[in-house]
Amino acid sequence: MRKSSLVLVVLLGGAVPLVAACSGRTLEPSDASAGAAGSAESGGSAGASAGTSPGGAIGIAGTSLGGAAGVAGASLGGAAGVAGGLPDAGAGGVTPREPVKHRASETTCDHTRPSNPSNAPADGDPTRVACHSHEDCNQGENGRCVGNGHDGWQCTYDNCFADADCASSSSAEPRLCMCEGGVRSDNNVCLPGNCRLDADCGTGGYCSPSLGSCGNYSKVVGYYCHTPDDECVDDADCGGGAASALAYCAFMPTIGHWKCSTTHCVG
Amino acid sequence: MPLGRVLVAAFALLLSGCSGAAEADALSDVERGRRYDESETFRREALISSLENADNGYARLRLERYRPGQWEALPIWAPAIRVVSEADLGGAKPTTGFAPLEVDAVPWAEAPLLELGRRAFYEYPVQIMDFAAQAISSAEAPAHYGLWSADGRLGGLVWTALPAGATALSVTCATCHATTRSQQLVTGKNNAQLDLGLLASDFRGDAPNVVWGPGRLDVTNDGSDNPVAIPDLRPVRHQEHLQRAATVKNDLIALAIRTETLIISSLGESVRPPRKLAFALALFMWRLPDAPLRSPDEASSRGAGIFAQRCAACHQPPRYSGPAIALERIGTDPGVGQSSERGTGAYRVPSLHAVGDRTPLFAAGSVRDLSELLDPSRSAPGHAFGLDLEDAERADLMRFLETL
Repeated sequence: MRKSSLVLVVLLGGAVPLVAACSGRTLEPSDASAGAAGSAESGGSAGASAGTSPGGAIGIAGTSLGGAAGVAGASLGGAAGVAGGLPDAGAGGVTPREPVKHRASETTCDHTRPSNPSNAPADGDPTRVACHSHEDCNQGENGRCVGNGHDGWQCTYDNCFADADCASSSSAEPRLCMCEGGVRSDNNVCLPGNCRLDADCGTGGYCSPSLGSCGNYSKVVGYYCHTPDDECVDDADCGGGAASALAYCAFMPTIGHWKCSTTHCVG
Repeated sequence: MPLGRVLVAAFALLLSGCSGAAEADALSDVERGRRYDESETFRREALISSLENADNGYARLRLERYRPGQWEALPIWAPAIRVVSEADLGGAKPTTGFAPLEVDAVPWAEAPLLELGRRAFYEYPVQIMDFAAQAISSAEAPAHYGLWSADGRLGGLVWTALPAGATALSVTCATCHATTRSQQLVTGKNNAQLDLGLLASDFRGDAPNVVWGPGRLDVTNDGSDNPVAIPDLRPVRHQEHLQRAATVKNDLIALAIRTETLIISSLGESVRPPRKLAFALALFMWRLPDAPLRSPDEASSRGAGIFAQRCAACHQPPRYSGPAIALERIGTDPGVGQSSERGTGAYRVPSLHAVGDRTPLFAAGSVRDLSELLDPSRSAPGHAFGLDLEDAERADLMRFLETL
């Protein structure tokens, strides 16, 4: 553990889970107070999204985009494709509850990075063996020569220790520092999204890490607010179905809310 | 029911089935496209008959979800987009100039559908890719990551309007399946310079992904790093199979379903493309012209004879494709063919149309080009056919292949 403060609030035991009638889905006692995530008044003004029914078109017509990036999204009315099925809650999403993973407060990462001896070979194809020891990795902070025989060896660095290190001059969108968020290593990386903290998602809102369309292959790709239209809250909501062994709950930019998916990458 | 009536009913059903199949075969491409758009039954049957191996992940997912109440019920997605050009380099996200592709008004006729397909090939967002921002962050970035630039377009990227006023960068078909030659855009040709692995890792300041390398990407999450070379789509209508691992038996409608479901899964199963657009894309790719590198001459005529003796059993004219070949027989890197997601135990026999300037070759892209393919000293294993040719024979054979 390299985090000097807890990044993700993980709900462990202690609370007696409630089982929702009809669905078998487990709810936590805090569900009742967690429903405001991404409400219109808290998530920024909505843009010109239109088309909200299953089978209907979703798009943003016209030539000008309005509205700040927020958390409102089209309600799909329980559109299919969610393995295992989830109950509707009002406009079609699941009953909001506290996600297993969310970012309640800013994290600062430990400046100490583990330094087990590198297993890089002393020689080899330089396109695959870009370094031979940690000492070769001196172009950034906490450089480590990491890899394996299949992937090759490269230097990795801690690219950030706090969110302020991830400020982007070319974009007003939030970027945050995720400790040990590297795909192939344990280095700290900057990630995009539409929130940095739960507070960015409005009163009672939650800002959670999301996998991308390649699932765990590309690890967490960004942080996004949960919304009232979410069709899932956690991966556990996405079980079931012959093709769903690797199903996960992820933020879908296309529809502006969270939904179950499976792992395929490019089709 | 009396036996006689049962037999009559069964015979009638048989006739009905036969005439239905014959009727479908007699339809024009556009008429088949329209049936694909309108008939769930037609789509379902086409999907089932196109799958080579019903047990791999690709097939299981589609058999489970390409049906009413599942992917059929997803909202249709036709977002407003704005083409990325060199004017966007180093700049902020645009807020104006967005417009959706017009789909509904396009009539079911060949020419308008081809035009829709052409535009969609370059402008319909098939996958949202935030990390593409890294590739337009500076004047030097596009070339560094292998993006092409031509005709006012940069790498086939588009800004895509999303709910709540958000925008994101997306890739189109053309990002991977177009490139430039002498500054002219070559539609359908694989972009062998595109380095998406490096682009993704650089965006998040991660360890450089040197596993994929230019022109390759891992398209499956099957627990193995098995990047595949981006395919050259120019000869797609000649292919016996779609996908390197011979996952899909090829046909225009199979290609449309392949395209539609690729977009669905690449967008996280959250939306689906308009089916007319998916068919237009397939039709556009189906109509891509042959692209021989040179005209026939005396040397290529000699090479044609060598080809007939040594190559045509697998690469069968006139498509220069053929039935898939077992992994152990071809002997190349089996990684892609063994994938639990795409694998069939075989590799497709690729059409050799346009092979003259294709690079790289083999499913994993382990051979640079024709010259290396036929070089007896090459290190990449497999496809030993032709390695024993004399130098003059090899030159003639290459000359012939460049005329395809």
